[in-house]
Amino acid sequence: MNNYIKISDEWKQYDWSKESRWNHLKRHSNYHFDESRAPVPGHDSYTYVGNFADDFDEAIKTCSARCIDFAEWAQINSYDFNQANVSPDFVVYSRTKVDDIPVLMNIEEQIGMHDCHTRYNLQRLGQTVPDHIDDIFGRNTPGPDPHPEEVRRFVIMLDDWHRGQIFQVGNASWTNWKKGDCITWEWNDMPHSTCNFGWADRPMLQITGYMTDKSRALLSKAEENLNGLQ
Amino acid sequence: MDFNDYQDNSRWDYLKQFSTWHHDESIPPKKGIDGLTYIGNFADDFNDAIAECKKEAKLHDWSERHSFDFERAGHHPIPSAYYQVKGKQTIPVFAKIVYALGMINSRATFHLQKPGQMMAEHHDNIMGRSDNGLDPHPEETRRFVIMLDDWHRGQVFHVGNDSLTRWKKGDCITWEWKDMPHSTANSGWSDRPMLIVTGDVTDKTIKLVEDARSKL
Repeated sequence: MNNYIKISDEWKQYDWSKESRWNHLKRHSNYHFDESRAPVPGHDSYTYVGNFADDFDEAIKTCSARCIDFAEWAQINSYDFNQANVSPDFVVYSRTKVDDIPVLMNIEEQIGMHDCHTRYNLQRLGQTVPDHIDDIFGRNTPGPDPHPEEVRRFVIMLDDWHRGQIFQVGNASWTNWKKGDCITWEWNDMPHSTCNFGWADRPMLQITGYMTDKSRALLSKAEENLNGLQ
Repeated sequence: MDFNDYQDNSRWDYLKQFSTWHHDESIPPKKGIDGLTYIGNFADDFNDAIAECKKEAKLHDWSERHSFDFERAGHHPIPSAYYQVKGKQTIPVFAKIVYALGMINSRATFHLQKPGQMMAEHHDNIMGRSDNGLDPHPEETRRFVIMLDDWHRGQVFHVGNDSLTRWKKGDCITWEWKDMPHSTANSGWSDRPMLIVTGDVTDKTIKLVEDARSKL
């Protein structure tokens, strides 16, 4: 079993109907949370890693047919939803495992992490994951993760962007992507949200795992490219 | 088609046929031409006006108009879109903006999008098109949007392939209402108050928009 999967079950000890999960995770973040500041590509927003374009059509059909609504996400943030006067009774996206889908597992292999937790993530019209900070380790104690840099999350868009789709990281907004585009962000620090308010589904692959020399090299190259842009 | 029969007809398809926009999502947006036009900033103290309007604003069933389209997209239930109250052009702080825009027959609507609400992509239907025909003079009418608070993470306003985020209180935009599909969403934790001003343009309004475009 992957370590972070085992650990991440420990969030269940909290009663998130009585405590703000947002505040709980925010205190571990090093982000400035100043919405007036312009985002800087890389650690202050997201890092564009590259493009893993392939023919994903069959994979999307297979995964979309079997993915299951993730209604639990809103429930585990119910205190924050109540604070905002919003009902937590909604689905943020649907998801499924992809271990049997070679074209998707091929991306996992190219990124090169180990003990990966890889999921197909389908966000349909009307679904949104509100602004949040990831909780990959579960954090059963108030202290910071000992080594958040050892774990990383990548997302890969499996279809071209359609109007009404957005992925925000910090003060940056990612839109107009191409099929196969891949980004990553500092999961311990960066608040992010997604929304689909267009008419087309938004299929995405999410890969979380432990970094290796191969994945570090990939990330370093991506960060060098960002520096070239600045 | 019975344009009021939203259950059995696609409002999206119906209004799209009047648009001259390309609807090609791979073409980068051009500000002021096929995206949004930034007009300027009308910053003021909107707090009292927002508080007054919030008390009166009612949940609007906008999404019901697109029930056929939502069903076709496989989505159920239909998401909540926003709260609104019309006829707010007389609130002094809003009246100043209405005057500055220079239109006649102006209508100002307060629009509040709460966390989790979204308005799916659509084309405006300002003239109503009860005769199923093209508007004879769409350029005679214009819609402006003024943000009444600074941007908060999770909030977005899409126009065509263009996106508005990171706005400042008082920022004002417009777009070609007949042609450009647009949509809004609030995936953050803060309310997003906005003023929509629609009216018949005058020379003053036309100059305002032309001057704004010349600066883009």
